[in-house]
Amino acid sequence: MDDVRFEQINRIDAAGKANGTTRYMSDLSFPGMLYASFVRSRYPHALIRNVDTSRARSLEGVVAVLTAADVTGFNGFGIVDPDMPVICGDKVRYMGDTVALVAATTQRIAEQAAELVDVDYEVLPIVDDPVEALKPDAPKVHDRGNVCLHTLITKGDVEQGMREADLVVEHEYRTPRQAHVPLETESGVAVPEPDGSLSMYAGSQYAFRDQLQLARILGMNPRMIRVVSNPVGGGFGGKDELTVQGGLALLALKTGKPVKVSLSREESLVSGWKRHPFIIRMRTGFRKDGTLVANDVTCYEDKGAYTSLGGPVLNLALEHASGLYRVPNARHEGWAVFTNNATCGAFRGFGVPQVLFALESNMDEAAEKLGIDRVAIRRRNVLHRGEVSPIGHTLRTGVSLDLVLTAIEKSDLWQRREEEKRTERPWLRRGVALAVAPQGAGLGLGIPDYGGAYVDLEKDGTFTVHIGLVEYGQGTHTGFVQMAAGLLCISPSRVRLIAGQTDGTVDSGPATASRSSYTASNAIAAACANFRARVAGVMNAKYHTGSDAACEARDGGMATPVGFRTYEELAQEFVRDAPLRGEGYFVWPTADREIPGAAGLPHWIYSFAAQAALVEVNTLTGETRVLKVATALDTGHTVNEQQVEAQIDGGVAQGTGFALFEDTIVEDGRIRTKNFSTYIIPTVRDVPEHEYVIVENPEDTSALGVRGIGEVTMVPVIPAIALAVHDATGVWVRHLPATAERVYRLLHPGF
Amino acid sequence: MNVKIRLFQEYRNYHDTPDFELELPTGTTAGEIVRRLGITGPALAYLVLVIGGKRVYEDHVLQDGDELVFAAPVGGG
Repeated sequence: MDDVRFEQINRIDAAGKANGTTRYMSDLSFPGMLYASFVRSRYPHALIRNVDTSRARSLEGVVAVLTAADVTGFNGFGIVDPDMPVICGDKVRYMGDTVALVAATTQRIAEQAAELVDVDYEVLPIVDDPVEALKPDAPKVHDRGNVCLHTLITKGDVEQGMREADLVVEHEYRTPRQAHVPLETESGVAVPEPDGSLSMYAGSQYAFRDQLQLARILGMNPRMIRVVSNPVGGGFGGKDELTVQGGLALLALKTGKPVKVSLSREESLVSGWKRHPFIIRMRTGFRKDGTLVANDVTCYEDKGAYTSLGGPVLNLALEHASGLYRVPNARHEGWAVFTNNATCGAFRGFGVPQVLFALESNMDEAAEKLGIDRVAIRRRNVLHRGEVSPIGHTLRTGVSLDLVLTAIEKSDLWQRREEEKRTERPWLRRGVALAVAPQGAGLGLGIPDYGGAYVDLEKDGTFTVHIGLVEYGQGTHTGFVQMAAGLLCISPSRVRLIAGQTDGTVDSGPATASRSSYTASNAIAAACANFRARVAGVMNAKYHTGSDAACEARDGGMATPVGFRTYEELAQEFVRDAPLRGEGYFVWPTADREIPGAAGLPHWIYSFAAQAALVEVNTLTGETRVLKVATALDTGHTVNEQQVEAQIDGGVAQGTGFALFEDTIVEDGRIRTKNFSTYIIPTVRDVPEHEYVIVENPEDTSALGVRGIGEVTMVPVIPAIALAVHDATGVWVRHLPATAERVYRLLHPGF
Repeated sequence: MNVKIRLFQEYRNYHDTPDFELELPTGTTAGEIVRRLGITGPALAYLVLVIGGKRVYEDHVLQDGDELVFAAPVGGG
């Protein structure tokens, strides 16, 4: 892997995005196109007695109004459990539920018609607290009850561990309902094709799964559905699940015309997927020297109305509830609980930011109470390869916590922290703290996790790489081109990429779970190996070079048994009507033993980062600013330096939002933060100065040594910010976001 | 020929054991196994078939020694 060199290039999609020529889904237009409006629920919880569409249908310009009876296949979608109706027929469970769909000749008419759909509701009591929702007399969101998933993982004897502890730190933590707020809201166009097939253009994170979900909804052969997911105007997990696709597809097939929608920001914030808020009760036992002896964790995940990925999010959170620290006695229990608050699904970090905030906070409090250095207490407890994790599996792949911890300790910010904390204004206090995090990568045990790619030599001697993985801002497609170029020993400018759609690519699984770069590294490497074998095969057929004669990529071509050939020469000699194709497939390595009662666990490969934050707290207002962040990140083997830094920048910004600003406030089941005036995200003014410390500990199960980095870059920065507030002021923040109001009340408890 | 079948998630409900082997005549397709297991409706619509990391479809002709995976395209963290 070390001999593969990645030529550093700018993003392959940068120019189009910078000059405005990239056509996002919301920019698309087709002849005769209609516009859709989704009729949303007026109540967070209600039975539907009747839907009268007559007034809406009578409006001039309205082409179709659909209700649940018009769903041609299965009226439900969901990655794990299809319990979310495309159009609700008998009940609504949150304010974003769809009760009817309208297609009209203009967007304005569609929206007017939506207002004319008369729905007769029988309002039901709501449940808006996951702990309350577990009580037997709580209103039932679903007939089956409010428990979406309950998981209990135990190791050792946690009570015995607590008895052996010299210090027990116990607190309740709360985390926000963060929204993804991609620049492009949920948008798309469904196009019925003359042959009876359907083309779906909608930004999403897994075209091949969208294809199957749509097939299920429409009752169609999936091969009659073509999905184009790229370009995506931002995802972060919020476009992993279906969003507008089901409704658009039904309208397009009903009307026989292309149908488009691009949700308003308000509709996006009301109906769109969110990060699960967690209530975490964590009791952690330490010996005097800082050694962890027990961790007892109970998590309540506010699932919102529908399942989506709530179960896997809960289980990943429970996998990480003691981090990858050496914890001999652990009890990790969690409930994913249905409520009438919004609906939650995948989001960068996937449950890990929530629990790591609690864990790292308990670690710092123990360090302070035991008089131990904050780096030292972590170094004492971090695991290494070959050791047993807190949930009981042996870590067989590389563990880099020690490396990133050492790197962050050596960072300029940490080394100069006392100097950085100085301020001349007495009402301003500065603090520095750090945190460390692992992040499980891949889909986990019990879920087939696979990838594939084609590498085609074209007639002109250039290459085309085909891979299904979607790009939604991470920079992965640029990395895929660099990987192929490195393996083939050519300039990236001679590699074209077809990706992010069902046609002409290979199903390579979802662009989630920090899996894209790792998956592509093995799929493209396998395809290039197969390509070399194909060249050897055609050489043997023509020159009788022997069936075992190898061909190797060299500077701009291949060393073959009959001498060096440039790719242009190979193409001229062997490429006729179809390209000369190499195909490669691989399956993710997984653990050989399940964690009992915890589907999907354990993970086999992890990402690792440590981050330190310098914050300044205005003690008169409670306002907190993040001034500097240092990130130590293990990339395994850096593919694109620019994109690594960009992922860190984005992760820190999103983590800062989680820590200080962002929360979807829901009162009585109604979302109050419907726009950027109330749903506050970090702006360029809030993004701190950054120090990048790249660690390269190659992941030895990747053909190119790479690790996923997409999620972990936003995880440790969250507790680092919260703990830096403590370092600055002495107050412990246990409820995020640490808004000015919350910090002020912590600083002035009598207020 | 001998083909190993591995069932994941809800597809485990279609056989007594999640992993089993079948002796099949040459030329058997993946779709014939799908029908033999009785997978229909929404479960069929959401089914992916995978052999050695490669997505295959119902018309795929099985080979001796294949390991045919039945799964839903669910995600995980």
